[in-house]
Amino acid sequence: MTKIILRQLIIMLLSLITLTIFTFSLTRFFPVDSSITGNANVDNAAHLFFHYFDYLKLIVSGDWGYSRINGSDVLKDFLLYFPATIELSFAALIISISIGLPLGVFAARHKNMWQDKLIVSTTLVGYSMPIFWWGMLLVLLFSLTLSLTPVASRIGFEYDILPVTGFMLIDTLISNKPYAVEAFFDALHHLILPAIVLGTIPLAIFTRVTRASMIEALSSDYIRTAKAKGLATSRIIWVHALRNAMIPIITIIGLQISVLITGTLITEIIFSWPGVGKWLLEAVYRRDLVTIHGGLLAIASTVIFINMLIEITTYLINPRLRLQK
Amino acid sequence: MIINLFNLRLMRLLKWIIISVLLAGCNFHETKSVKDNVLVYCSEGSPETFNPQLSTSNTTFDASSRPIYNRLIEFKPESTTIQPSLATNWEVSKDGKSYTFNLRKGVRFHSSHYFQPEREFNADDVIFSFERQKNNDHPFHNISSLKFGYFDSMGLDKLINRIEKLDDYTVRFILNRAESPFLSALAMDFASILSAEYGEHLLAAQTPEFIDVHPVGTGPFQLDRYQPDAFIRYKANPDYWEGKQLLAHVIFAITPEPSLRFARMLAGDCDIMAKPLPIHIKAAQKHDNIQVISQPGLNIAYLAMNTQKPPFNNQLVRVAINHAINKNSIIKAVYRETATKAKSPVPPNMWSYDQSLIDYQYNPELAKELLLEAGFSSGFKMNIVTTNAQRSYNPNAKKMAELIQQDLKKVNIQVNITSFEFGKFLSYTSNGLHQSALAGWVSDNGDPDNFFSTLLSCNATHSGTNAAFWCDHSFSELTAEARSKSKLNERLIIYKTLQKTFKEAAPWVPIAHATQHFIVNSRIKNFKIASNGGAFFTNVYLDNSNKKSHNGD
Repeated sequence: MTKIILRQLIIMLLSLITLTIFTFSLTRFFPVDSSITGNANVDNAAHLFFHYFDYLKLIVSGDWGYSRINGSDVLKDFLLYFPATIELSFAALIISISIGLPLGVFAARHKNMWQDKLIVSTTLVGYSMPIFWWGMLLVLLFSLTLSLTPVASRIGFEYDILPVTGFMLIDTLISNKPYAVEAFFDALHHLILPAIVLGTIPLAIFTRVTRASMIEALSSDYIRTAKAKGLATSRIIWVHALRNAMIPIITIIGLQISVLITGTLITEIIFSWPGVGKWLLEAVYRRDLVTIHGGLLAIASTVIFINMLIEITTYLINPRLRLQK
Repeated sequence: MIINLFNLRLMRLLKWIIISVLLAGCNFHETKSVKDNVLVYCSEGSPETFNPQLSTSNTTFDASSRPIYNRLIEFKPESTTIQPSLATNWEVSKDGKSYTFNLRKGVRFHSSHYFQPEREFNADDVIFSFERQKNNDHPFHNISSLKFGYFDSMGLDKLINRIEKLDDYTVRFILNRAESPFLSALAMDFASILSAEYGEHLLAAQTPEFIDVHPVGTGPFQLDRYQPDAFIRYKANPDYWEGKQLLAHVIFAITPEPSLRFARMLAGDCDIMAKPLPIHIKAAQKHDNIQVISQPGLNIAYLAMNTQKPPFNNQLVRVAINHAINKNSIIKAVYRETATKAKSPVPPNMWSYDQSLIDYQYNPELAKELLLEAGFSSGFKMNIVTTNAQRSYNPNAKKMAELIQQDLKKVNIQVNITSFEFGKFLSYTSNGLHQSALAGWVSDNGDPDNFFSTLLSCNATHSGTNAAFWCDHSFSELTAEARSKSKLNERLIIYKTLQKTFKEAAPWVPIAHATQHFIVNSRIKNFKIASNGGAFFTNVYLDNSNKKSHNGD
């Protein structure tokens, strides 16, 4: 157990070192900020090595430099925008799991019948959908034609919510404004459409994986035994079959989390969502290299960290892996 | 049975999802109480600074000078007429070199968590605001990386000799020479009045740079919160000297993408939309809860004929060209009806405009006769220089040139079009290399002198802004006389004469004054466009009585 966690930690550390070597070399090619890279012009490999350590020290101590455009602290900026990205990804994850899983089970129950074929072909379409196009289409339909959802941003502009945690759903509830609850529902209302757009591809993937995994589980002998025993069908499906089918599903869910975090970048731009993606894009437009460098470093380390957590979780919930050694 | 049971569960789940979505939707529509005194303005970009002294951009002025600050005198909305603001009245000396302002009493600067004023507005604040821009040794002169764009380019550092405080509520500007447009310069955004007391407070705290970031003014609204690239939140100034505004908050939703701005407008997320595209103006007409508010801009687009080159040294030819160009079709095709036809060098909303001026009618036959009279019975060849850049007075100069080409073909004139990048265009035309050029001009100080002297005087042929190179000495002398006169009606008489002379000489074909647009929700009342095209939220109120539900649920 500890051995596995230790191994994962070492892998993470190695990836992080590779990442910082990469970002460090980028700062060598592009003029980022002399405060980060040191201003000596280095040819000597040994010097370069020391410079890398200086750089690492700064990064670890949280000094990621200051934006060239507005002079704000890059790490602070990242932490300001990151909760918005997390909130959106998390909402998308919840939507895709809560719809994808039952849909996959449903398709598996109706294997090769028209319901199954419909779901399989729809998920194929969903899987291959370009997000930006799909997002705009949904905005056109739900926001502009049906007026069901807002067009963009996290909350109606009329609400004045101070960022405390950075998570709008939490901030609205803990704010002392008279319209706190109203604001919460408004934030939720703003979250729905971007979350659906972002969750579309994971939803399709979860449905397909759940279906395949369930079909396999439902055809196994122990299910037949359970049926013969006269167990209720719902119990067989939701308890016996699904639990065994969950292992590959959870692995896929884990993989999708990092896809979601990076996938929000496009969704954020469509919905003018003030998260890391929009922040980075603005930085690119303004040639703000310090911010780009910081954003790259932060997103990549987040993905590495999440991957480690997933590896450990998969290990913990999969008895076969756990018992292998 | 199993399938049915499962379907039932699935249906129940779906039902819950639908219900929760609708519930969230319902709640959204019940937020009337919050929205009822809040105006959301979808603006086109983040301001560079909150100090209008440091900018030349209207985006910055919309967010700083108009809501947060006041000037000594201000333009009336929708016009360039000057009205009292922080100065209640003013006096100009006989020689036109000294301007004395009596200041308003009882005006309070914004009180906020970062600054609480201890005294009311007085002469020190006026002197502080101008000295900061004028005096190189002023402690606030060099704290920003931005430049004092207008103050410097208008040469006010050379024009203003000194500013004197006569008493707490009287201030006098002494100029080096008489210049009547000086008064309208003081109504421009860069002449906003900042608090000297706040300046001292910041110097004591050793954070002078905050003066441009955390603004303190006397205006109708004060800055509440700003998130760059997302929103600016203002709240009504409770101590505003004209009385507290009816709007509790004005919020700028910063939306650089025009189609997203329009989408937000349609969805009801914003009440006013800045800078719509021509297609949005067309589309907005199909919705009954939004309307387009337009105002002719302080600009002109014109065909300048180089009067020092044949055949345009002949007045008859110039008049013939005036008769041969169909302005209506240009306004339709180039501006998509978002411009008004021009006949004078100044736009109709500028105070010197002569309504009674008679324009040359579109009449190709008459044009042919005039050309015959001028000795060009078989026509001639000419060249038009244009720029490929989109300008606020001319969205598509090349297309305009092509339409003129078609028109002139009918009177046997062969037109050749040359299109340059804007910088090259300016240097080419200011050196007088062109035979004719599609030029334009935008004024921002609202003074007609900005058109007459700058575009048509003999001096301007040297500086290159007189694109027609038309030099009529009596015309030039009159413009100088109008400049030095301080009485408005005396100047008005001169400008009317100048417009008649201009029309007879016909050095230009004045084509269009491009219109500025805002798309506005019908619940917004009393919204007016500032004379230079900016948004203006003072005294705006909301009428929520006939507010429609979004989806009627």
